Amino acid sequence: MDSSLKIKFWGTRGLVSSPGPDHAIYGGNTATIQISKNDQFIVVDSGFGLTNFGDSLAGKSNLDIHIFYTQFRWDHTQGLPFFLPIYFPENNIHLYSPHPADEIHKKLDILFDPSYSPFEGLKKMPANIHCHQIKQNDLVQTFNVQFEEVNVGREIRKNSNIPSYSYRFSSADAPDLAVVLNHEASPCKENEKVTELCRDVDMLIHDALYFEEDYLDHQGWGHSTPRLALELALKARARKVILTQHAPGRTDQSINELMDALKKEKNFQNLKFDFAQEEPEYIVEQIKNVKKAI
Amino acid sequence: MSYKVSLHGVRGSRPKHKLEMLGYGGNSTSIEFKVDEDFHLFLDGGSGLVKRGIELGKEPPKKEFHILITHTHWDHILGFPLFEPMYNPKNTFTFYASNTQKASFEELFKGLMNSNHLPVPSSQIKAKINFVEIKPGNEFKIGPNVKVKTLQLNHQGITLGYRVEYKGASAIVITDNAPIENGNYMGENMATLAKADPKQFEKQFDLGLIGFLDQADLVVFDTHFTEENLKPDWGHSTPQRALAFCDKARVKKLSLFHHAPEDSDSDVDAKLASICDEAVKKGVEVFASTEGHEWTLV
Repeated sequence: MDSSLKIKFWGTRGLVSSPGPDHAIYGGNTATIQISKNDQFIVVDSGFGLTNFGDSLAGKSNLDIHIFYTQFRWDHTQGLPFFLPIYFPENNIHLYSPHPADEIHKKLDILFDPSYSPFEGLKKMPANIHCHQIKQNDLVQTFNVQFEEVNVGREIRKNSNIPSYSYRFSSADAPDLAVVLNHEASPCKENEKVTELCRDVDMLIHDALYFEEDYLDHQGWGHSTPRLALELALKARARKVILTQHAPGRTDQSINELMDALKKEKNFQNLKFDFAQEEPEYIVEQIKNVKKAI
Repeated sequence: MSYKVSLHGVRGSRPKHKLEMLGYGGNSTSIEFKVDEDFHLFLDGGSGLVKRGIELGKEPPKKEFHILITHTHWDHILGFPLFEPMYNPKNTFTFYASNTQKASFEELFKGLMNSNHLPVPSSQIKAKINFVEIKPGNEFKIGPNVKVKTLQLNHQGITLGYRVEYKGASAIVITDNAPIENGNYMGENMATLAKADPKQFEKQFDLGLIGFLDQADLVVFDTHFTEENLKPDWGHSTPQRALAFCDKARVKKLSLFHHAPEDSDSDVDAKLASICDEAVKKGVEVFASTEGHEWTLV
Protein backbone atom coordinates (compact mmCIF):
# COMPACT_ATOMS: atom_id res chain seq x y z
CA MET A 1 0.00 0.00 0.00
CA ASP A 2 1.41 3.30 -1.06
CA SER A 3 1.04 5.70 1.87
CA SER A 4 1.32 8.91 -0.06
CA LEU A 5 -1.26 11.42 -1.20
CA LYS A 6 -1.44 12.60 -4.78
CA ILE A 7 -2.85 16.05 -5.37
CA LYS A 8 -3.89 17.42 -8.74
CA PHE A 9 -5.08 20.98 -9.16
CA TRP A 10 -7.57 20.91 -12.03
CA GLY A 11 -8.29 24.57 -11.28
CA THR A 12 -6.03 27.11 -9.60
CA ARG A 13 -7.81 30.42 -10.27
CA GLY A 14 -9.90 32.42 -7.87
CA LEU A 15 -12.99 34.50 -8.78
CA VAL A 16 -13.24 33.66 -12.48
CA SER A 17 -11.49 31.44 -15.01
CA SER A 18 -8.59 33.15 -16.71
CA PRO A 19 -7.57 31.14 -19.77
CA GLY A 20 -4.49 32.29 -21.65
CA PRO A 21 -1.04 31.35 -22.93
CA ASP A 22 0.60 33.46 -20.22
CA HIS A 23 -1.13 31.24 -17.68
CA ALA A 24 0.24 28.04 -19.21
CA ILE A 25 2.30 27.17 -16.12
CA TYR A 26 0.06 28.18 -13.23
CA GLY A 27 -3.31 27.47 -14.85
CA GLY A 28 -6.53 29.25 -15.71
CA ASN A 29 -9.57 27.29 -14.48
CA THR A 30 -11.54 28.01 -11.30
CA ALA A 31 -10.99 25.92 -8.18
CA THR A 32 -10.99 22.13 -8.29
CA ILE A 33 -8.57 19.98 -6.31
CA GLN A 34 -8.38 16.19 -6.64
CA ILE A 35 -6.88 14.26 -3.71
CA SER A 36 -5.99 10.63 -4.32
CA LYS A 37 -4.93 7.91 -1.94
CA ASN A 38 -4.27 4.44 -3.39
CA ASP A 39 -7.28 3.75 -5.64
CA GLN A 40 -9.59 6.26 -4.06
CA PHE A 41 -10.03 9.96 -4.55
CA ILE A 42 -12.03 12.89 -3.34
CA VAL A 43 -12.45 16.33 -4.89
CA VAL A 44 -12.59 19.72 -3.23
CA ASP A 45 -14.86 22.24 -5.00
CA SER A 46 -16.28 22.07 -8.50
CA GLY A 47 -15.02 25.16 -10.33
CA PHE A 48 -14.50 24.95 -14.09
CA GLY A 49 -11.42 22.82 -13.43
CA LEU A 50 -13.88 20.01 -12.78
CA THR A 51 -14.76 19.90 -16.48
CA ASN A 52 -11.17 19.06 -17.44
CA PHE A 53 -11.23 16.37 -14.76
CA GLY A 54 -14.47 15.08 -16.29
CA ASP A 55 -12.82 14.91 -19.75
CA SER A 56 -10.15 12.64 -18.23
CA LEU A 57 -12.87 10.24 -17.01
CA ALA A 58 -14.37 9.73 -20.49
CA GLY A 59 -15.12 6.06 -21.16
CA LYS A 60 -15.23 5.16 -17.44
CA SER A 61 -18.56 4.07 -16.01
CA ASN A 62 -20.15 3.26 -12.65
CA LEU A 63 -18.27 6.10 -11.04
CA ASP A 64 -18.58 7.26 -7.45
CA ILE A 65 -17.50 10.86 -7.20
CA HIS A 66 -17.14 12.62 -3.84
CA ILE A 67 -17.00 16.43 -3.91
CA PHE A 68 -16.45 18.50 -0.77
CA TYR A 69 -17.54 22.14 -0.95
CA THR A 70 -15.61 24.83 0.89
CA GLN A 71 -18.41 27.25 -0.08
CA PHE A 72 -21.03 27.90 -2.73
CA ARG A 73 -19.62 31.01 -4.41
CA TRP A 74 -19.93 30.42 -8.14
CA ASP A 75 -16.20 30.15 -8.77
CA HIS A 76 -16.23 27.08 -6.50
CA THR A 77 -19.32 25.42 -7.99
CA GLN A 78 -19.77 26.52 -11.63
CA GLY A 79 -18.17 23.47 -13.25
CA LEU A 80 -20.75 20.96 -11.98
CA PRO A 81 -23.29 21.24 -14.85
CA PHE A 82 -20.49 20.52 -17.34
CA PHE A 83 -18.98 17.55 -15.50
CA LEU A 84 -19.16 14.60 -17.93
CA PRO A 85 -20.08 11.95 -15.30
CA ILE A 86 -23.26 13.88 -14.39
CA TYR A 87 -24.72 12.89 -17.77
CA PHE A 88 -24.70 9.15 -17.13
CA PRO A 89 -27.38 7.45 -14.99
CA GLU A 90 -25.07 4.73 -13.66
CA ASN A 91 -22.83 7.29 -11.88
CA ASN A 92 -23.20 8.44 -8.28
CA ILE A 93 -22.16 11.97 -7.39
CA HIS A 94 -21.88 12.70 -3.68
CA LEU A 95 -21.80 16.32 -2.60
CA TYR A 96 -20.57 17.20 0.89
CA SER A 97 -20.67 20.31 3.05
CA PRO A 98 -21.20 21.15 6.71
CA HIS A 99 -24.45 22.80 5.53
CA PRO A 100 -27.68 20.73 5.63
CA ALA A 101 -28.27 18.43 2.66
CA ASP A 102 -31.29 20.33 1.34
CA GLU A 103 -29.30 23.57 1.52
CA ILE A 104 -26.50 22.02 -0.52
CA HIS A 105 -29.02 21.03 -3.18
CA LYS A 106 -30.64 24.46 -3.20
CA LYS A 107 -27.35 26.32 -3.52
CA LEU A 108 -26.17 24.20 -6.45
CA ASP A 109 -29.55 24.19 -8.19
CA ILE A 110 -29.04 27.79 -9.42
CA LEU A 111 -26.32 26.52 -11.76
CA PHE A 112 -28.96 24.39 -13.49
CA ASP A 113 -31.70 27.03 -13.45
CA PRO A 114 -33.35 27.40 -16.88
CA SER A 115 -33.02 31.19 -16.68
CA TYR A 116 -29.22 30.85 -16.71
CA SER A 117 -28.62 27.48 -18.35
CA PRO A 118 -29.98 24.99 -20.87
CA PHE A 119 -30.89 22.67 -17.96
CA GLU A 120 -34.05 22.07 -15.95
CA GLY A 121 -32.62 21.76 -12.45
CA LEU A 122 -30.08 19.65 -10.61
CA LYS A 123 -32.70 16.93 -9.99
CA LYS A 124 -33.17 16.40 -13.73
CA MET A 125 -29.54 15.51 -14.44
CA PRO A 126 -29.11 11.82 -15.34
CA ALA A 127 -26.60 10.82 -12.62
CA ASN A 128 -27.66 9.97 -9.08
CA ILE A 129 -26.99 13.05 -6.97
CA HIS A 130 -26.60 12.61 -3.22
CA CYS A 131 -26.18 15.59 -0.89
CA HIS A 132 -24.61 14.93 2.51
CA GLN A 133 -24.28 17.17 5.53
CA ILE A 134 -20.84 16.41 6.90
CA LYS A 135 -20.21 16.23 10.65
CA GLN A 136 -16.87 16.55 12.43
CA ASN A 137 -14.76 13.41 12.12
CA ASP A 138 -16.97 11.76 9.52
CA LEU A 139 -15.16 9.11 7.50
CA VAL A 140 -15.44 9.44 3.72
CA GLN A 141 -13.39 7.34 1.27
CA THR A 142 -11.14 6.41 4.24
CA PHE A 143 -10.43 10.09 5.00
CA ASN A 144 -11.31 11.46 8.43
CA VAL A 145 -12.86 14.88 7.78
CA GLN A 146 -12.64 17.91 10.05
CA PHE A 147 -13.65 21.46 9.20
CA GLU A 148 -13.56 25.00 10.56
CA GLU A 149 -15.24 28.18 9.45
CA VAL A 150 -12.95 30.55 7.51
CA ASN A 151 -12.73 34.32 7.69
CA VAL A 152 -14.68 35.47 4.63
CA GLY A 153 -13.91 39.11 5.34
CA ARG A 154 -16.07 41.99 6.56
CA GLU A 155 -16.99 43.19 3.03
CA ILE A 156 -18.32 39.78 1.98
CA ARG A 157 -20.26 39.58 5.25
CA LYS A 158 -22.21 42.65 4.16
CA ASN A 159 -23.98 40.58 1.49
CA SER A 160 -23.72 37.12 2.98
CA ASN A 161 -23.39 35.69 6.43
CA ILE A 162 -23.32 32.13 5.12
CA PRO A 163 -20.25 30.33 6.50
CA SER A 164 -17.51 28.97 4.28
CA TYR A 165 -15.23 26.21 5.45
CA SER A 166 -11.71 24.90 5.50
CA TYR A 167 -11.07 21.16 5.67
CA ARG A 168 -8.54 18.81 7.16
CA PHE A 169 -8.40 15.31 5.67
CA SER A 170 -6.56 12.85 7.89
CA SER A 171 -5.68 9.17 7.58
CA ALA A 172 -3.89 6.76 9.88
CA ASP A 173 -1.85 5.46 6.95
CA ALA A 174 -1.26 8.59 4.85
CA PRO A 175 -0.23 12.24 5.24
CA ASP A 176 -2.68 14.85 6.57
CA LEU A 177 -3.88 17.56 4.21
CA ALA A 178 -5.64 20.85 4.92
CA VAL A 179 -7.45 22.95 2.32
CA VAL A 180 -8.04 26.59 3.20
CA LEU A 181 -9.66 28.65 0.44
CA ASN A 182 -11.29 32.10 0.58
CA HIS A 183 -9.83 32.67 4.02
CA GLU A 184 -8.41 36.05 4.98
CA ALA A 185 -5.66 34.99 7.38
CA SER A 186 -5.71 38.21 9.39
CA PRO A 187 -6.08 38.29 13.19
CA CYS A 188 -9.55 37.12 14.21
CA LYS A 189 -11.15 34.16 15.97
CA GLU A 190 -11.69 32.27 12.69
CA ASN A 191 -8.00 32.58 11.91
CA GLU A 192 -7.08 31.08 15.26
CA LYS A 193 -9.40 28.12 14.67
CA VAL A 194 -8.19 27.58 11.11
CA THR A 195 -4.58 27.72 12.31
CA GLU A 196 -5.42 25.04 14.88
CA LEU A 197 -7.10 22.92 12.20
CA CYS A 198 -3.84 23.07 10.22
CA ARG A 199 -1.63 22.18 13.22
CA ASP A 200 1.31 19.98 12.06
CA VAL A 201 -0.39 19.18 8.77
CA ASP A 202 1.79 17.48 6.14
CA MET A 203 0.41 19.59 3.29
CA LEU A 204 -1.45 22.90 3.51
CA ILE A 205 -3.24 24.19 0.42
CA HIS A 206 -4.02 27.86 1.07
CA ASP A 207 -5.63 30.79 -0.72
CA ALA A 208 -3.24 33.53 -1.83
CA LEU A 209 -5.37 35.58 -4.23
CA TYR A 210 -4.00 39.05 -3.55
CA PHE A 211 -0.44 40.16 -3.96
CA GLU A 212 0.63 42.83 -1.46
CA GLU A 213 -0.14 45.77 -3.74
CA ASP A 214 -3.70 44.51 -4.45
CA TYR A 215 -4.42 43.73 -0.81
CA LEU A 216 -4.24 47.42 0.15
CA ASP A 217 -7.56 48.03 -1.65
CA HIS A 218 -9.06 44.64 -0.88
CA GLN A 219 -8.85 44.18 2.85
CA GLY A 220 -12.01 42.56 4.10
CA TRP A 221 -12.71 40.87 0.76
CA GLY A 222 -11.93 37.43 2.20
CA HIS A 223 -8.67 36.40 0.62
CA SER A 224 -5.08 36.16 1.78
CA THR A 225 -1.80 37.34 0.38
CA PRO A 226 1.01 34.79 -0.02
CA ARG A 227 2.64 36.35 3.02
CA LEU A 228 -0.46 35.96 5.23
CA ALA A 229 -0.82 32.35 4.08
CA LEU A 230 2.83 31.54 4.75
CA GLU A 231 2.68 33.17 8.18
CA LEU A 232 -0.29 30.96 9.04
CA ALA A 233 1.65 27.96 7.77
CA LEU A 234 4.61 28.84 10.00
CA LYS A 235 2.37 29.26 13.04
CA ALA A 236 0.60 25.95 12.34
CA ARG A 237 3.94 24.22 11.61
CA ALA A 238 2.67 22.90 8.26
CA ARG A 239 5.29 20.75 6.61
CA LYS A 240 4.64 21.92 3.02
CA VAL A 241 2.45 24.64 1.50
CA ILE A 242 0.89 25.13 -1.90
CA LEU A 243 -0.56 28.56 -2.58
CA THR A 244 -3.57 28.65 -4.90
CA GLN A 245 -6.50 30.82 -6.09
CA HIS A 246 -4.36 32.98 -8.35
CA ALA A 247 -6.09 36.24 -9.26
CA PRO A 248 -7.55 36.55 -12.78
CA GLY A 249 -4.91 38.06 -15.06
CA ARG A 250 -2.02 37.13 -12.74
CA THR A 251 0.65 35.97 -15.21
CA ASP A 252 3.10 33.08 -14.87
CA GLN A 253 5.94 35.59 -14.90
CA SER A 254 4.56 37.63 -12.01
CA ILE A 255 4.04 34.49 -9.92
CA ASN A 256 7.57 33.27 -10.64
CA GLU A 257 9.00 36.67 -9.69
CA LEU A 258 7.10 36.80 -6.42
CA MET A 259 7.99 33.21 -5.55
CA ASP A 260 11.69 33.92 -6.09
CA ALA A 261 11.45 36.99 -3.86
CA LEU A 262 9.57 35.17 -1.09
CA LYS A 263 11.99 32.24 -1.10
CA LYS A 264 14.82 34.67 -0.37
CA GLU A 265 13.10 36.05 2.74
CA LYS A 266 14.61 34.99 6.03
CA ASN A 267 11.23 34.16 7.61
CA PHE A 268 10.36 31.64 4.95
CA GLN A 269 13.78 30.02 4.48
CA ASN A 270 12.80 26.79 6.21
CA LEU A 271 9.32 26.56 4.77
CA LYS A 272 8.71 24.36 1.71
CA PHE A 273 6.19 26.13 -0.52
CA ASP A 274 5.07 26.46 -4.13
CA PHE A 275 2.38 28.16 -6.14
CA ALA A 276 -0.18 25.68 -7.50
CA GLN A 277 0.08 24.61 -11.12
CA GLU A 278 -2.55 22.76 -13.15
CA GLU A 279 -0.37 20.32 -15.05
CA PRO A 280 1.69 18.38 -12.49
CA GLU A 281 0.58 15.92 -9.84
CA TYR A 282 1.90 16.76 -6.38
CA ILE A 283 2.94 13.85 -4.20
CA VAL A 284 2.96 14.15 -0.42
CA GLU A 285 4.98 11.40 1.19
CA GLN A 286 4.24 10.04 4.61
CA ILE A 287 6.99 10.65 7.16
CA LYS A 288 7.62 7.00 7.98
CA ASN A 289 8.79 7.19 11.59
CA VAL A 290 6.04 9.45 12.90
CA LYS A 291 3.21 7.70 14.71
CA LYS A 292 -0.17 8.98 13.61
CA ALA A 293 -3.07 9.40 15.99
CA ILE A 294 -6.48 10.58 14.87
CA MET B 1 -12.95 58.54 -36.72
CA SER B 2 -13.01 54.76 -36.60
CA TYR B 3 -15.09 51.64 -36.06
CA LYS B 4 -13.30 48.57 -34.78
CA VAL B 5 -14.68 45.24 -33.58
CA SER B 6 -12.61 43.45 -30.97
CA LEU B 7 -13.00 39.88 -29.72
CA HIS B 8 -12.37 39.40 -25.99
CA GLY B 9 -13.92 35.96 -25.62
CA VAL B 10 -14.78 33.43 -28.34
CA ARG B 11 -15.32 30.16 -26.50
CA GLY B 12 -18.81 28.71 -26.23
CA SER B 13 -20.64 27.17 -23.25
CA ARG B 14 -18.01 27.95 -20.61
CA PRO B 15 -14.55 29.43 -20.24
CA LYS B 16 -11.93 26.73 -20.51
CA HIS B 17 -8.20 26.75 -20.00
CA LYS B 18 -6.51 23.83 -21.71
CA LEU B 19 -3.20 24.21 -23.51
CA GLU B 20 -4.38 22.69 -26.83
CA MET B 21 -7.05 25.37 -27.29
CA LEU B 22 -5.33 28.57 -26.29
CA GLY B 23 -4.44 29.61 -29.84
CA TYR B 24 -8.06 30.56 -30.53
CA GLY B 25 -8.72 31.26 -26.87
CA GLY B 26 -10.61 29.92 -23.87
CA ASN B 27 -12.48 32.96 -22.56
CA SER B 28 -16.26 32.93 -22.99
CA THR B 29 -18.26 35.41 -25.10
CA SER B 30 -17.52 39.08 -24.98
CA ILE B 31 -17.18 41.38 -27.99
CA GLU B 32 -16.42 45.08 -28.08
CA PHE B 33 -17.62 47.57 -30.69
CA LYS B 34 -14.98 50.29 -30.52
CA VAL B 35 -16.78 53.30 -31.89
CA ASP B 36 -15.22 56.74 -31.86
CA GLU B 37 -17.58 58.09 -29.22
CA ASP B 38 -17.55 58.93 -25.52
CA PHE B 39 -18.68 55.52 -24.42
CA HIS B 40 -17.71 51.87 -24.43
CA LEU B 41 -20.01 49.41 -26.20
CA PHE B 42 -19.86 45.69 -25.45
CA LEU B 43 -21.86 42.61 -26.30
CA ASP B 44 -22.20 40.14 -23.40
CA GLY B 45 -20.01 39.72 -20.32
CA GLY B 46 -18.40 36.30 -20.46
CA SER B 47 -15.00 35.80 -18.87
CA GLY B 48 -13.39 37.68 -21.80
CA LEU B 49 -14.79 40.91 -20.39
CA VAL B 50 -12.78 40.53 -17.18
CA LYS B 51 -9.48 40.61 -19.03
CA ARG B 52 -10.58 43.76 -20.88
CA GLY B 53 -11.55 45.34 -17.57
CA ILE B 54 -8.02 44.91 -16.26
CA GLU B 55 -6.68 46.65 -19.42
CA LEU B 56 -9.20 49.50 -19.15
CA GLY B 57 -7.71 50.45 -15.80
CA LYS B 58 -4.61 51.51 -17.75
CA GLU B 59 -6.41 53.60 -20.44
CA PRO B 60 -7.88 57.10 -20.21
CA PRO B 61 -11.30 56.51 -18.69
CA LYS B 62 -14.63 56.76 -20.45
CA LYS B 63 -17.39 56.74 -17.88
CA GLU B 64 -20.30 55.46 -19.93
CA PHE B 65 -20.75 51.76 -20.68
CA HIS B 66 -23.43 50.26 -22.91
CA ILE B 67 -23.89 46.51 -22.89
CA LEU B 68 -25.94 44.54 -25.40
CA ILE B 69 -27.13 41.24 -23.94
CA THR B 70 -27.83 38.29 -26.22
CA HIS B 71 -29.17 36.06 -23.42
CA THR B 72 -28.59 35.17 -19.79
CA HIS B 73 -26.79 31.83 -19.97
CA TRP B 74 -23.92 31.77 -17.47
CA ASP B 75 -21.15 31.87 -20.06
CA HIS B 76 -22.47 35.22 -21.35
CA ILE B 77 -22.81 36.99 -17.98
CA LEU B 78 -20.39 35.51 -15.45
CA GLY B 79 -17.78 38.19 -16.09
CA PHE B 80 -19.86 41.21 -15.03
CA PRO B 81 -19.23 41.06 -11.26
CA LEU B 82 -15.48 40.85 -11.98
CA PHE B 83 -15.46 43.74 -14.49
CA GLU B 84 -13.31 46.46 -12.90
CA PRO B 85 -15.32 49.47 -14.19
CA MET B 86 -18.37 48.20 -12.25
CA TYR B 87 -16.58 49.13 -9.03
CA ASN B 88 -16.25 52.82 -9.90
CA PRO B 89 -19.16 54.96 -8.65
CA LYS B 90 -18.43 57.50 -11.41
CA ASN B 91 -19.33 54.95 -14.13
CA THR B 92 -22.77 54.37 -15.60
CA PHE B 93 -23.84 51.11 -17.21
CA THR B 94 -26.86 50.66 -19.47
CA PHE B 95 -27.91 47.10 -20.23
CA TYR B 96 -30.04 46.37 -23.29
CA ALA B 97 -31.77 43.01 -22.97
CA SER B 98 -34.99 41.11 -23.55
CA ASN B 99 -37.38 40.10 -20.81
CA THR B 100 -38.89 36.65 -20.89
CA GLN B 101 -42.25 35.62 -19.48
CA LYS B 102 -40.46 34.18 -16.44
CA ALA B 103 -38.36 37.17 -15.46
CA SER B 104 -37.05 40.51 -16.65
CA PHE B 105 -33.34 40.87 -17.28
CA GLU B 106 -33.23 43.44 -14.49
CA GLU B 107 -34.62 40.89 -12.02
CA LEU B 108 -32.19 38.19 -13.13
CA PHE B 109 -29.20 40.56 -13.07
CA LYS B 110 -30.04 42.05 -9.69
CA GLY B 111 -30.73 38.56 -8.36
CA LEU B 112 -27.23 37.51 -9.31
CA MET B 113 -25.51 40.68 -8.09
CA ASN B 114 -27.21 40.40 -4.71
CA SER B 115 -26.64 36.68 -4.48
CA ASN B 116 -25.17 35.27 -1.31
CA HIS B 117 -22.79 33.40 -3.56
CA LEU B 118 -21.32 36.22 -5.60
CA PRO B 119 -17.54 35.71 -5.69
CA VAL B 120 -16.99 39.37 -4.70
CA PRO B 121 -18.69 41.71 -2.18
CA SER B 122 -21.77 43.17 -3.92
CA SER B 123 -21.44 46.26 -1.69
CA GLN B 124 -18.35 47.21 -3.71
CA ILE B 125 -20.09 47.18 -7.11
CA LYS B 126 -20.81 50.88 -7.09
CA ALA B 127 -21.43 51.89 -10.71
CA LYS B 128 -24.85 53.24 -11.58
CA ILE B 129 -26.83 50.66 -13.56
CA ASN B 130 -29.79 51.23 -15.91
CA PHE B 131 -31.85 48.69 -17.82
CA VAL B 132 -33.54 49.07 -21.19
CA GLU B 133 -35.98 46.37 -22.29
CA ILE B 134 -35.55 45.27 -25.89
CA LYS B 135 -38.31 43.49 -27.77
CA PRO B 136 -37.05 41.49 -30.76
CA GLY B 137 -37.11 43.69 -33.83
CA ASN B 138 -36.58 46.89 -31.82
CA GLU B 139 -34.19 49.41 -33.32
CA PHE B 140 -32.57 52.08 -31.18
CA LYS B 141 -29.68 54.51 -31.04
CA ILE B 142 -26.83 54.74 -28.59
CA GLY B 143 -25.61 58.31 -28.56
CA PRO B 144 -26.24 60.34 -31.73
CA ASN B 145 -24.34 58.10 -34.15
CA VAL B 146 -24.65 54.41 -33.31
CA LYS B 147 -27.70 52.55 -34.61
CA VAL B 148 -28.61 49.11 -33.26
CA LYS B 149 -31.06 46.61 -34.78
CA THR B 150 -32.23 43.40 -33.14
CA LEU B 151 -33.68 40.04 -34.10
CA GLN B 152 -34.89 37.02 -32.12
CA LEU B 153 -32.62 34.01 -32.62
CA ASN B 154 -33.44 30.32 -32.33
CA HIS B 155 -32.20 29.64 -28.80
CA GLN B 156 -33.70 29.40 -25.30
CA GLY B 157 -35.64 32.31 -23.85
CA ILE B 158 -35.58 35.39 -26.05
CA THR B 159 -32.05 35.40 -27.42
CA LEU B 160 -31.18 38.47 -29.47
CA GLY B 161 -28.97 38.96 -32.50
CA TYR B 162 -27.56 42.49 -32.82
CA ARG B 163 -26.61 44.62 -35.81
CA VAL B 164 -24.47 47.63 -34.88
CA GLU B 165 -24.23 50.33 -37.56
CA TYR B 166 -21.73 53.18 -37.36
CA LYS B 167 -20.20 55.52 -39.95
CA GLY B 168 -21.69 53.50 -42.82
CA ALA B 169 -20.34 50.12 -41.65
CA SER B 170 -22.21 47.32 -39.91
CA ALA B 171 -21.16 44.45 -37.69
CA ILE B 172 -23.53 41.71 -36.58
CA VAL B 173 -23.37 39.07 -33.86
CA ILE B 174 -25.55 35.97 -34.23
CA THR B 175 -25.13 33.91 -31.05
CA ASP B 176 -26.48 31.63 -29.78
CA ASN B 177 -28.55 30.30 -32.69
CA ALA B 178 -29.71 26.86 -33.89
CA PRO B 179 -31.09 25.67 -37.25
CA ILE B 180 -34.86 26.14 -37.23
CA GLU B 181 -35.82 23.26 -39.51
CA ASN B 182 -37.86 20.16 -38.63
CA GLY B 183 -39.74 21.79 -35.79
CA ASN B 184 -36.65 22.76 -33.81
CA TYR B 185 -38.25 25.82 -32.19
CA MET B 186 -36.21 26.83 -29.17
CA GLY B 187 -37.16 30.43 -28.48
CA GLU B 188 -40.00 31.60 -26.27
CA ASN B 189 -43.31 31.77 -28.21
CA MET B 190 -41.81 30.22 -31.34
CA ALA B 191 -43.69 26.94 -31.10
CA THR B 192 -46.99 28.83 -30.72
CA LEU B 193 -46.27 31.13 -33.65
CA ALA B 194 -45.22 28.19 -35.84
CA LYS B 195 -48.28 26.03 -35.07
CA ALA B 196 -50.53 27.24 -37.86
CA ASP B 197 -47.99 26.73 -40.62
CA PRO B 198 -44.61 25.39 -39.50
CA LYS B 199 -43.07 25.36 -42.99
CA GLN B 200 -43.98 28.99 -43.54
CA PHE B 201 -42.71 29.95 -40.08
CA GLU B 202 -39.34 28.31 -40.74
CA LYS B 203 -39.08 29.96 -44.15
CA GLN B 204 -39.91 33.36 -42.66
CA PHE B 205 -37.35 32.91 -39.91
CA ASP B 206 -34.58 32.16 -42.40
CA LEU B 207 -35.62 35.01 -44.69
CA GLY B 208 -35.71 37.32 -41.69
CA LEU B 209 -32.18 36.32 -40.73
CA ILE B 210 -30.93 36.88 -44.30
CA GLY B 211 -32.58 40.30 -44.34
CA PHE B 212 -31.00 41.14 -40.99
CA LEU B 213 -27.54 40.21 -42.28
CA ASP B 214 -27.96 42.16 -45.53
CA GLN B 215 -24.61 43.31 -46.92
CA ALA B 216 -22.99 43.51 -43.47
CA ASP B 217 -19.28 44.21 -43.33
CA LEU B 218 -18.77 41.59 -40.60
CA VAL B 219 -20.90 38.77 -39.21
CA VAL B 220 -19.81 36.85 -36.12
CA PHE B 221 -21.88 33.63 -36.18
CA ASP B 222 -22.36 30.74 -33.71
CA THR B 223 -20.67 27.70 -35.30
CA HIS B 224 -20.34 25.51 -32.22
CA PHE B 225 -21.01 22.27 -34.10
CA THR B 226 -19.89 20.66 -37.34
CA GLU B 227 -22.36 19.13 -39.79
CA GLU B 228 -21.22 15.72 -38.51
CA ASN B 229 -21.79 16.30 -34.79
CA LEU B 230 -24.71 18.76 -35.02
CA LYS B 231 -27.31 18.44 -32.26
CA PRO B 232 -29.87 21.06 -33.34
CA ASP B 233 -31.79 21.05 -30.04
CA TRP B 234 -28.66 22.15 -28.16
CA GLY B 235 -29.09 25.58 -29.71
CA HIS B 236 -26.10 26.09 -31.98
CA SER B 237 -25.19 26.02 -35.64
CA THR B 238 -22.40 25.00 -38.07
CA PRO B 239 -19.91 26.75 -40.38
CA GLN B 240 -21.78 25.52 -43.46
CA ARG B 241 -25.07 27.02 -42.38
CA ALA B 242 -23.43 30.27 -41.33
CA LEU B 243 -21.78 30.54 -44.74
CA ALA B 244 -25.05 29.79 -46.55
CA PHE B 245 -26.78 32.67 -44.75
CA CYS B 246 -23.89 35.05 -45.32
CA ASP B 247 -23.70 34.15 -49.00
CA LYS B 248 -27.41 34.84 -49.53
CA ALA B 249 -27.09 38.12 -47.62
CA ARG B 250 -23.95 39.20 -49.52
CA VAL B 251 -21.98 39.62 -46.32
CA LYS B 252 -18.34 40.64 -46.72
CA LYS B 253 -16.69 38.87 -43.75
CA LEU B 254 -17.85 35.87 -41.69
CA SER B 255 -16.15 34.90 -38.46
CA LEU B 256 -16.89 31.46 -37.00
CA PHE B 257 -17.69 31.85 -33.30
CA HIS B 258 -18.67 30.11 -30.02
CA HIS B 259 -16.03 27.39 -30.46
CA ALA B 260 -17.10 24.30 -28.55
CA PRO B 261 -15.25 23.62 -25.29
CA GLU B 262 -14.27 20.26 -26.82
CA ASP B 263 -12.60 21.99 -29.79
CA SER B 264 -8.83 22.07 -29.79
CA ASP B 265 -7.13 24.62 -32.02
CA SER B 266 -6.82 21.91 -34.71
CA ASP B 267 -10.56 21.25 -34.54
CA VAL B 268 -11.26 24.93 -35.14
CA ASP B 269 -8.72 24.94 -37.98
CA ALA B 270 -10.66 22.02 -39.49
CA LYS B 271 -13.98 23.89 -39.20
CA LEU B 272 -12.49 26.82 -41.09
CA ALA B 273 -10.94 24.54 -43.70
CA SER B 274 -14.30 22.83 -44.24
CA ILE B 275 -15.80 26.02 -45.72
CA CYS B 276 -12.75 27.70 -47.29
CA ASP B 277 -13.28 26.55 -50.86
CA GLU B 278 -16.97 27.31 -50.80
CA ALA B 279 -16.33 30.72 -49.22
CA VAL B 280 -13.87 31.64 -51.98
CA LYS B 281 -16.44 30.66 -54.63
CA LYS B 282 -19.09 32.76 -52.91
CA GLY B 283 -16.87 35.75 -52.30
CA VAL B 284 -17.19 35.73 -48.48
CA GLU B 285 -13.98 36.27 -46.52
CA VAL B 286 -13.99 33.78 -43.62
CA PHE B 287 -12.20 33.76 -40.28
CA ALA B 288 -12.21 31.60 -37.18
CA SER B 289 -12.73 33.99 -34.26
CA THR B 290 -9.54 34.43 -32.29
CA GLU B 291 -9.40 35.99 -28.85
CA GLY B 292 -7.63 39.32 -29.12
CA HIS B 293 -8.38 39.78 -32.83
CA GLU B 294 -9.63 43.17 -33.95
CA TRP B 295 -11.10 44.22 -37.31
CA THR B 296 -11.08 47.83 -38.46
CA LEU B 297 -14.29 48.37 -40.43
CA VAL B 298 -13.86 52.13 -40.85
